[in-house]
Amino acid sequence: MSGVGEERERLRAALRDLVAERGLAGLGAADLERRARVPAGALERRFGDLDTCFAALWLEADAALREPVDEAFARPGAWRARIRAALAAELSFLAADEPRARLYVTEAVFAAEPVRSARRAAMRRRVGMLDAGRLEASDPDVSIAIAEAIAGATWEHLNRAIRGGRAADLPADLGELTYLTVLPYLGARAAAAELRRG
Amino acid sequence: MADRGRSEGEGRLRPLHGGRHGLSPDIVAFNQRERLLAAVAAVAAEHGYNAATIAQIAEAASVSRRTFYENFEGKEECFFAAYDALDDYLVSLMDEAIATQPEWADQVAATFVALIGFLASRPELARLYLVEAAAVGEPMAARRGRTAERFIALLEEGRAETGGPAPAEGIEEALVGGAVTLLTRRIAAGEGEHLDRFAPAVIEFVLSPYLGVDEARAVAARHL
Repeated sequence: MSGVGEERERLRAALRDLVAERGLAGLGAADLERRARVPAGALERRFGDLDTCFAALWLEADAALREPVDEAFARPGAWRARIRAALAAELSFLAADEPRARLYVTEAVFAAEPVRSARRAAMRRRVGMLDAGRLEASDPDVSIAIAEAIAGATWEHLNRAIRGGRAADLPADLGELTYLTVLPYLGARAAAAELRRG
Repeated sequence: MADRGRSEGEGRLRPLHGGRHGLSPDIVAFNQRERLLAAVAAVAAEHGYNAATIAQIAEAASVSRRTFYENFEGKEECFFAAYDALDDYLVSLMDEAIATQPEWADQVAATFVALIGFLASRPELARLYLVEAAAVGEPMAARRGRTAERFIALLEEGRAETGGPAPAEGIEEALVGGAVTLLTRRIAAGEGEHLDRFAPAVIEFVLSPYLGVDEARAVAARHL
């Protein structure tokens, strides 16, 4: 690896560790350069600023998450099974790497552009997957606002779990999150079945 | 969060007339503080909390920077004070709404109708409360957590009240988070003035785990 590439990697790894340890808010360039053991000014030379370095990590995580989630949701079958599979893929992804989960979910709220725009796009994708439940709902007039609320509720659940140090246990919450997701579209009986299934 | 003295059209507050206006120093100081609270909401709504400056806040309140610093140590303290004042008012609205309804589900519905209706009538305050407060970061987390806990406690009462199938444990946190996300997204999209359109969806969403979808929708319809 070239000196330039090595500095970039050191800075990325240091930011990932610092965000996991202390959170993004309040971190400065000097903290990062010290942890990365790179000369002062390296962050500006390699990334421009800390926000850009964080964005590189966040966008990479976002792309890595999209792949298994999209693949799971694209499988043939009923929406209920597809949305469950997509949720399972997301929970496994987050559980596999706690620092990445913290960076992607809990710390991104403090990030600047382009992460803000990318987060909105990620939320729109999530809402689209949820809103597809209307096609199988007994009442297809369910408001799209319901899908937004489910997306927010899921995100809040993930956020609390990761903040509470439970990222590794997230796959155990699949039943609960699927319950919450299918309830507005498929009703209490289907939702309860998902909860029992776990 | 009074809007006394708000000038028409500009989003600025008229300065208090100098000289012999007959107001005691205490009243002037109180008025200046109120004006700064209203101003921080207006400036944060226009520029975002992170970009808002003390100079902008002071200018919008028509007070000097020195007066700003006589009232607050900095932007963050001013923002916190505005959030707390608004939060206190929303708690009073919540208490009033609950007191008007004997049944739990109607209490929940009346609460959301009252709060969302107020926020729709004051989009700049809605933005401060839901959008900009999130941008402040960790220092705001405890305050926002306390706000959420009130709603969580209200929803948890539904477990005993409804007698239906028990919802998933701990679902209340997610329900409140979902309602907040829905409203926040709509405010961020510039739909703050029309926030009351989403009250039915919020009520249906938070009540469905306790009542089922049809009954939750019927409760929402009763309150709109």
